[in-house]
Amino acid sequence: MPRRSAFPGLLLAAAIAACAPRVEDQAAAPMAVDTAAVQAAATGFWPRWIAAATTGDTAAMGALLADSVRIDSKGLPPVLGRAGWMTVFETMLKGMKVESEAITPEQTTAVSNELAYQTGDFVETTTTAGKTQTEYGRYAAAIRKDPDGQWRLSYVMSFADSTLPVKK
Amino acid sequence: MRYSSTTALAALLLSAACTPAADTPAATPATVDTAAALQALDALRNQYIALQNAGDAAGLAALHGDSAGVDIFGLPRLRGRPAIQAAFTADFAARKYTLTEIVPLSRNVRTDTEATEIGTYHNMHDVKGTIDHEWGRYIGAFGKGPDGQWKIQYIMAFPDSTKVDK
Repeated sequence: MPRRSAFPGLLLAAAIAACAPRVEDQAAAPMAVDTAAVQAAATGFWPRWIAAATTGDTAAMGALLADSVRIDSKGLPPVLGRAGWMTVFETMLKGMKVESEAITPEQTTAVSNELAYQTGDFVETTTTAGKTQTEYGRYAAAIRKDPDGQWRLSYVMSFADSTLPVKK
Repeated sequence: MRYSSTTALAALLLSAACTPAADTPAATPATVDTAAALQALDALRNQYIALQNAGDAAGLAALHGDSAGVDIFGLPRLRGRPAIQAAFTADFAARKYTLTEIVPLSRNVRTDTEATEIGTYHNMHDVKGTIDHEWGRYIGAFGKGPDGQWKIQYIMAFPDSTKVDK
């Protein structure tokens, strides 16, 4: 993601009140954590995100975000909620095309059957005003399973380590 | 930290040490003593601030879990306490922290042994007589070990703005 874009393409994060089960809820769920299933769900989240981002499908991207998502991305103010994301990224994506994006998880932790924490790397190539660049960075994210059974991004913090122009 | 220093911060998330072991029952306690955990995190933060301002790399590293992770803008990925201590040592050799402020914005105590936090930080550094500021954001994950000590398991942070005093 371009500096400013911080990942329209990407995601990730970490743990905020909004993305973790409420304390009261936990006491009622002494179930085994299906680590493999949770890790698979978290890892499987990204291809869907990338597909939406690279086709500029903001509606599909928005559908992958939890209502209360928070995004802390360097170069952008905190983005709060899906509606906030739409306001910021819909406008941004109108002037930018995500050419390609790769997200490589480094570590995925199954916190519960409904919550995964993940860190990783991203590489995103975008074109804005005719200029193409590739951004390399890191992220930390929380991905949760909503009551409807869908896994959505509930938090992500990210920053780019380097940005390189792409010569065509 | 060299660029971000944020280290100062506190923040959060993920580490094997602070999450249930794979495939073990999520033995959640009937109640979570949130107040006790938050009090412990406050103490950890105060220690962090004091040690950073004192330039104590070993002490600061000791606040991290053995396998803690730190991702700070401007620094390579740091994994494990030795790598974290080495980064602190290099940072403190380059500049002195004259002020560290860490302000949690949201904290979540998930169980009696794991918590996460997001917030903001402000550091001031003295680099050979030149004072600079750095303001940024962080996320952190904390875990309580068998010894009863809360430690930093993961931190990610980046600066939003910097300023050099004239």
